[in-house]
Amino acid sequence: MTAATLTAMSPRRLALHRLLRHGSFWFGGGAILLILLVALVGPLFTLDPVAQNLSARLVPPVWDVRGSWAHPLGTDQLGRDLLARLVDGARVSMFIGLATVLVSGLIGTAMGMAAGYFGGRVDLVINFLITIRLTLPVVLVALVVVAVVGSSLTVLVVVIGLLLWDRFAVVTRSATQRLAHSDFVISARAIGSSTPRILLVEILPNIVGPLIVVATVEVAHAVLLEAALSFLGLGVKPPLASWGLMVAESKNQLLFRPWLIAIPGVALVTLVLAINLLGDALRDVVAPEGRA
Amino acid sequence: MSTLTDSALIELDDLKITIPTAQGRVLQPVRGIALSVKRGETLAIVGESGCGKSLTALSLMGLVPKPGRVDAARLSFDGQPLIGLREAEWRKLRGPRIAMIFQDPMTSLDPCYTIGSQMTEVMRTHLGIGRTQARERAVSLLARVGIPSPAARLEQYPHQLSGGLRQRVMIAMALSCEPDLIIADEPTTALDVTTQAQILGLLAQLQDETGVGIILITHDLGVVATMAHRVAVMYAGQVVETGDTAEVLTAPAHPYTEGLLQAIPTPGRTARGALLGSIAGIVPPPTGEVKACLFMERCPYARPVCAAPVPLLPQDGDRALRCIRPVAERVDEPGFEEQGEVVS
Amino acid sequence: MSAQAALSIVGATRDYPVSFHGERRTLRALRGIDLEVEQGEVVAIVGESGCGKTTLSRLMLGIEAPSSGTVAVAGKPIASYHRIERAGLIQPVFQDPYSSLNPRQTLGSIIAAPLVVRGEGNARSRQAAVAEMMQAVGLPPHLLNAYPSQISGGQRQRVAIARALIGQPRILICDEPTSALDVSVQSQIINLIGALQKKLGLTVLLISHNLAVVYHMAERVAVMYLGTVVETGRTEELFARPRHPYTRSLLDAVLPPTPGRRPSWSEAIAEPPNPVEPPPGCPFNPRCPRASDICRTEMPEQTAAAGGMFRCHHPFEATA
Repeated sequence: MTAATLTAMSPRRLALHRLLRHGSFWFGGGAILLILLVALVGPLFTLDPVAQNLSARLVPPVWDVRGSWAHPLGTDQLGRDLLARLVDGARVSMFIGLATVLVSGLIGTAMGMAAGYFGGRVDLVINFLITIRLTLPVVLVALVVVAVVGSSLTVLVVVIGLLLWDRFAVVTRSATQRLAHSDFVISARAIGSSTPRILLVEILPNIVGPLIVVATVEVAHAVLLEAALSFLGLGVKPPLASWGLMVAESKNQLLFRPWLIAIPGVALVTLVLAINLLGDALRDVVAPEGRA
Repeated sequence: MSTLTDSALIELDDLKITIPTAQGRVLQPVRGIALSVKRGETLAIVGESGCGKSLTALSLMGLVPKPGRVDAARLSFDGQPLIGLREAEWRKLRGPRIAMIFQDPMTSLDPCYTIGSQMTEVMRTHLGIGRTQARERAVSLLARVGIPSPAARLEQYPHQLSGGLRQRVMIAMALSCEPDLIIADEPTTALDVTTQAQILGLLAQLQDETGVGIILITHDLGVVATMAHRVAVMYAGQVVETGDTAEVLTAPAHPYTEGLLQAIPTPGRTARGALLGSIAGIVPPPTGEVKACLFMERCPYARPVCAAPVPLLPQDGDRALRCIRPVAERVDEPGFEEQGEVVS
Repeated sequence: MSAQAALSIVGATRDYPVSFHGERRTLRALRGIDLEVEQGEVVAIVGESGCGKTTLSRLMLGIEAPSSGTVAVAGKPIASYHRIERAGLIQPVFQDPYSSLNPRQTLGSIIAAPLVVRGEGNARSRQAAVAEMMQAVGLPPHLLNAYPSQISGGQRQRVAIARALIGQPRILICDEPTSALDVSVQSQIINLIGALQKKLGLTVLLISHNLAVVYHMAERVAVMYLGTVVETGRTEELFARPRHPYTRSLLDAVLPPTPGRRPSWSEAIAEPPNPVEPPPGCPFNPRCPRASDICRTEMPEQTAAAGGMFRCHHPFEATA
């Protein structure tokens, strides 16, 4: 072997290289980073999001002639600072999005890997569970559960998490099935690897790519679901802020003070769009990789 | 259509294929091919993966994928220049005059259509014959390539046939418009050994009957030895040696050909269990200007004189060689067997 | 079962449930295999696709269990070993080095995996063992942290061999170890396996359809057809004087790279039979030029021959 130099990049470097050249990654990732930053450090600079001031109700935003820098985005019908509530709502949305995907990702990945690797009866049972889950209308079930158990952030995370694992399971199952019969997994069995080692060391790293893509889709899904539940009054409870709740609280003002709905609405759209752009970029990076 | 049997069907000189990549680099997978094929003759193009042999074949069909660029000092089929041909003109050649057989018939046959409809469609397009006539012809073609109960096969789908039968169907389709030239790209690589022998036998027999010219692309020197009248050995996008098959295989003049032959265990020639010769190192990347003999880095006979581009030098008879060190000069120097030990 | 047999297969069958034209049927991939391999021997299993040679290799690796019969390694059924014990006895090298290495692991961790799984040594001793192994199979040390996608096919196959041998197994099962490689690289891998076999006294089972490679490497050959071993023998004897018509047709199909020898083309073609519906009698009878009535009804018994056996009603003469 004469001076065998490595011409190709390692799989990880190659993925990173592709990602950094992707426009959607920069837009989506940048917007998410910004929202995350606002959610984390924003509250240090804004007013108290729950402090009511009935003498300063429905102040319009600063760009309106009647607006002032005291409340840059104005106030709501209880005189609470809209900017402070928006920042606070970002925390709720981000938390719900990430926490639920953690729950659903764990459930779905575990089930999908088990079904794909063991096959047979295990696969049959898990497929049945997936089918059942797909027949459940997500919003309705969430509404019923929250209505019965009562609402809190924990309940929301658990309920949404328990409802959004199906896509993880489906994707993991088919990816695992494909890998379970590959020569490198058979080699791993031949060297005496235990089943957990095969699943975690051999198979999991090879399906992380598609899982990340599913995760971005599901974060967006969870954020929207929380907004919908809060809008219907069964999500985040006042005085806690949530973008969905902010829209709901101002629905009577739609015609007279549209900014009350437009501002949280635009925030929501921006976040979901950013997550989807990021997911698109990740998919483009993950999909063409093949066996590399 | 010319009927002279010794006129060259394909004449190709100094073929270059360049492919610009998305990263702004330029790949040169083919950079110096010269070959010719006569009617009734089989030319084997032999080389290892990535040597550019399949791209060379595609360039003869006008099928080099975009944005690849084909340049040649001479590229003609039956006297007609092929460089700069328009797609419509290519379509008149592909099928009726030049047919192709691929390695994996499963990917070149459409799984959604029956064998019959795929075969008759080709004939009706190119020969302008009617449905019943095309069907009759398809049956006789299938019978001719040795497929049992041919009429019934017309109603079958590709997946219902075995690999050997599918390759026979491909050959029947290639023959359907009576082409002057068949390009077969690794036609038997995906098949079992006994099936391979049958398919090669069929091709040889059909050639004897029709006088079709065959370009056989393969990596298997055993296939070359049994099938080809002449052979072109390719390395790193260049033809390094060409000539009469028997001459090239019994007295290889290029070190690469010599190395390949010594790497193959051959009952009767290599001793059982003995070290086989091997070619150390890897193929150079298909980029950049050719500044030296491309085989120099892996060649046990390399000398400082090899550090300059080597043209394809005509030799006695029909042979040509891309090596400036004559066989007589290097015959006593250590060759590939010695490398075999170093590598293991 | 002789005491020193490294590997002993007795009456092994393997069935798979399949659906055939919408019906549930049984595919008998192996139909009673008997094979005994001694320590340090190189035995080739030869046959075409669908003959069951890959299934047989999985039984020998203990990855699948025989439906009936036994597969014993060093005198004990393979199923009776713990997976780690088994791994220390028998290891595979697969055909396609592109799929046999995990694309997400570095070469170093792939080669070290058998030791990690076994919990042998510490990080430092394992690293030393990997370095030694890489040198033994001819891999330059700077590839330690490279990924499989960064190296050539030949190098990948060296990695696969290094992984198989680092745990010092006694038996190596090579399933078409060279057929995915370029010719010039094939010879390097053949040389390497041969050298390591001699040096370590390995038992090698070479599964291949390439008779030239088999002739070069193996001491004994077993020819398989449709789940049955139809002939065994010492390599030179079997190549010079095949007794079974199928062995002869395989040998006739070999195309050596020496010009002037045109193999005899057979006009008639007979398709390989469907293993779900094997022909009655001798499995080779539909394709056999010597087949008679008895071949279509009765499976031939084993007949002992010099250095092996064959299963045929109308064998070629031993002196022919």
